[in-house]
Amino acid sequence: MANPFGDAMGDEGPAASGSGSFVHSADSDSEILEGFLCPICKSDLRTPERLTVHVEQEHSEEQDLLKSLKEIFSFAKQGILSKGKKKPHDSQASDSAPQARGADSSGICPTAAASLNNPLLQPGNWQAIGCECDHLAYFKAVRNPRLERYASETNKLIIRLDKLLDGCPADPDGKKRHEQSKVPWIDGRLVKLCPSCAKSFGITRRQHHCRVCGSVMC
Amino acid sequence: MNVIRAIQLYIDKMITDAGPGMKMLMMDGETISIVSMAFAQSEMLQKEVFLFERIDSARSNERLKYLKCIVFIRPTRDNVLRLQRELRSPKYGSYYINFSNIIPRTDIKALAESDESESVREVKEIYADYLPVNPNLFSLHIPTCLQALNWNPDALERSTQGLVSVLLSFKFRPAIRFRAGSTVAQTLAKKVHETINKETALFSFRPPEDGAAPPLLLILDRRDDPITPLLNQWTYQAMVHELLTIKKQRVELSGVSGVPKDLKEVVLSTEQDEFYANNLYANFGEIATTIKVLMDEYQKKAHDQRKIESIADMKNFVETYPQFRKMSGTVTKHLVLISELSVQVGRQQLFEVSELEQEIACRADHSTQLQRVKRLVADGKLGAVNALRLVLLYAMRYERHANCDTLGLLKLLQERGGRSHIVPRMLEYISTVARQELFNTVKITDAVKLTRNLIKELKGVENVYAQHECVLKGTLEEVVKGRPLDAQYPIMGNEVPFRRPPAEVIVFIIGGATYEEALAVHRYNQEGCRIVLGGTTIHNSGSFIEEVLAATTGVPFKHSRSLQQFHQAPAGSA
Repeated sequence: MANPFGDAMGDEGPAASGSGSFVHSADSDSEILEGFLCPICKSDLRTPERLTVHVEQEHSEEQDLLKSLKEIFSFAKQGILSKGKKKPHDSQASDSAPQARGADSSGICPTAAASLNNPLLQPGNWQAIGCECDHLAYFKAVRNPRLERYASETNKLIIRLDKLLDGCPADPDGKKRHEQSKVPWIDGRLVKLCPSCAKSFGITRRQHHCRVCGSVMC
Repeated sequence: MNVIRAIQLYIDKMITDAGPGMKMLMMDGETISIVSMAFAQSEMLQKEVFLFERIDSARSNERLKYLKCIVFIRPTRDNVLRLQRELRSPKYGSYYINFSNIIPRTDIKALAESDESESVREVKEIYADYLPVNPNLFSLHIPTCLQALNWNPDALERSTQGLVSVLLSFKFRPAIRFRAGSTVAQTLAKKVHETINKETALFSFRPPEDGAAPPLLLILDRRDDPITPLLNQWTYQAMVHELLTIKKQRVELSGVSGVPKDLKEVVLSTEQDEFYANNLYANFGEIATTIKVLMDEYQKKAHDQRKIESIADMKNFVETYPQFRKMSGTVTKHLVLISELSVQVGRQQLFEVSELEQEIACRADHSTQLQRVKRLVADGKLGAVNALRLVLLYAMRYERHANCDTLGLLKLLQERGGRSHIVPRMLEYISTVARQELFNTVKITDAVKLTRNLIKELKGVENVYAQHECVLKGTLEEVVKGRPLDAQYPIMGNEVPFRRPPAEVIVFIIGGATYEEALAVHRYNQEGCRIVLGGTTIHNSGSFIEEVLAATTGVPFKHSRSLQQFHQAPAGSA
C-alpha cells in the first residue's frame, strides 16, 4: 500500500519511545501497523494489560520504557475514573458545605471517609489474570483420528471412482479387465446370499460386482 | 487482591477469546450465580452475549447455527454427560468450552469422542469456581457442610475445588496452616496440599523474590468462634443480611409492607451501586446521614430537571436522564431497605437485645446478666428468635459457672414456644478451644494476653453495640505481626516455616464466615495488608443455627447431660 508519508516518517523510525502503540510505520515496507504493539519487537498484544506484562517479561532491561508505558495507562485510567466521579463529588461538596456550618460537621466527612472506605477506589490496584489451562491439543488428538476414519473411507471410494473413470476402454472385455485391475473383486463362490435382500443366488438371480468397492449384490 | 476483579478478568477473557460475532452463554446452576455476581446483564450485552441458557434445562429444538456458544460449566460428571448429549446433536455453530476447575483427561476424551461434527473450537480450564461477594470476601454457597461433626463428602470435595481455584486465580503457591485440634481443618488442609502436589504443572509459579514469605492459606473452623454469627450487627451489609437475608446479592422484600412492585427483589452489588459500595461497613447512624446527603443530591437534580426552558436545557435533560433514572432507582432501593431496617429494629427491640448480647459476649457479670436475660426472655413482646439467641449466649458463656441457671431459662423458653432443643446441640458444637479461650475457663498464664485483657477492662468502651471483637481479629493480628504460629496453626507438609510475616493471606472458615469478620479483614486491608476471607457460606444467625443442627445430628450429648429433658425437639417443630 503506497504510503504518502512513507519516506518522511520512515527516517524517524518508530514514534516517541514512550508510546509503543497506536499507528506507526514499519521500517522497510511502508505497511501501517495498528493496535497495542510492543515498540521493541513489534508483536501484537491486543490489550494494554498484556502489553505491559509482555514488556515486563521479555524486555525487562528497558526499565524507563516500562515506566513510561505504565504511566500512560495510569493517566488514562485516572482520567476515565475521575470523569465519572467528578460530577457527584462536586455537587455533594457544594451541598454539604452549608450543612456543615449547621449542626453536625459529619456532613462532609462521610463523603471523604466513604471513598476511603470504598474498597474499589483503592488506587493502583492493577490485577493480573489468573492461571489457565488449555486442553485443545489433547482434544483434537482424540477427535481427529475418529473423524478421519469416516473421512478416509469416503476419500478412498472417491479416488477409486476417479481411477475407474480415467482411461476406461470402450470394448466390454477391455472394460472388465480395466475394472478388475483397479479394484479387487470379491470371489463370487464365497457369497451365498445377497447382502441387501438376503435372497439366494440362482439361475434367475445372478451375482453382480460393485465396480467401486468390489462386493457382491443381486 | 480483589476476588470480584479476578472473576471478571476470567469471564472477560473467556468471552473475548471467542472472537467477534453474536454469542450466547451456556452455564449450569452454579456458574450462573458466579457470572451474575461478577457482571450485570447490561455489561454482558455490551460484550455481544445475547442469550443465557442453562445446560440442564429442557430447551426448544431450534437450531441457531449463526450463534457461537460459550459453555462455562463446573466439571461434574452430570455436566459432562449433558455436554456430550449436546455435542452429538449440536444446535449452535461453534462451541467454546470452559470448565471452572480441573477436569480429568478421561472426561475430555469422552467429549472428544462425541464431537462428531467438529464444532468445538476451544477446550479450556479457567479457575473461577467461587462466588465473589465483596472484593475481599468469597463464598462457596454450601449451606451445611458438616454432619456428625465431620465432613460431608460432597462439601469436602466442593471446598477443596473452590480453594484450589482461588489459589490458581491469584497464582499462589501457599504455605498451608490449619487450626490445631480441628479434624475438619486438617482434612481440608491435607486435601488441598495433595491437589497442589499432584498438579505441579499448574502450580509452577515463580517463587516470590528476595526472600519474602510465601502467601499463607489459613484454614479455620467455625466451631472455634460460635458467638460471632449469633450477634446482631449494626453495619449496613451485615445488618441487611441479618434482618432480611442477602442471598447471592439479592434481597427478597416480598414480605415487607409498603414496597412498590418492582422492588420485590432487590439487587445489592458493590460493582453497580456506588452508594452501597461506599457504605458497606458504615454503621446504622452513619447510614442515616449519608442517605440524607444522597436524598438532597437527588432532590437537587430533580429540581434541575424541571427547569426546561431552552433547547440547550432540553438537550441536557435528555442526555442526563438515564443517569437520573438510575440514581432514582438506587435512592428508592436504599430508602426502602433502611426504612425496613428501622422498622425491624423497633419491632424487635434490637437496641436492648443487642446491648445485652454484647455484654454477655464481652464481660463476665453473671448475676446482673442473668436477671436481664430472664426478664427479656419472659417478655412477651420479644421475638422467639431473639430470646433463643440470648439463651444460647448465656448457656455458652456460663456453662461451667457455679450458679448457672440454663435449666430455668430453657423452661422459660419452652413455655414461650421457642426452639429450646437447639441449646444442647450448640453446646456440643462448640469446640474445646472455644470453651477455653472465649470463656476464660482456663487460667491465662500468657503475660501478653493478661496485659491485653487488663487494658481492655480499664479502657472502657466507646460504642456499646460494637464492642465485640471476633476471634479472627486476634488471629490476623498474630499473622500480620509475624508472631510464631506453629503451636496453634501447624503447617501442612514439610516446608520450613518462614520467620517473616506473609505478604498475602487467604483465610478460609469451614462452617461459614460472617460479615463482621469481613469488616475486620477490611480494616486490616486498609492498613496495607492483603487479606482475603472466604467461607463455605456467609452466615446470619438463622443459617448458623441450621448449620449447627445439621452438624450435630447423630452426635452423642456429652456436654449437656443435665439438660436431658430438652434434647428432643418438641413435636411439630424442627
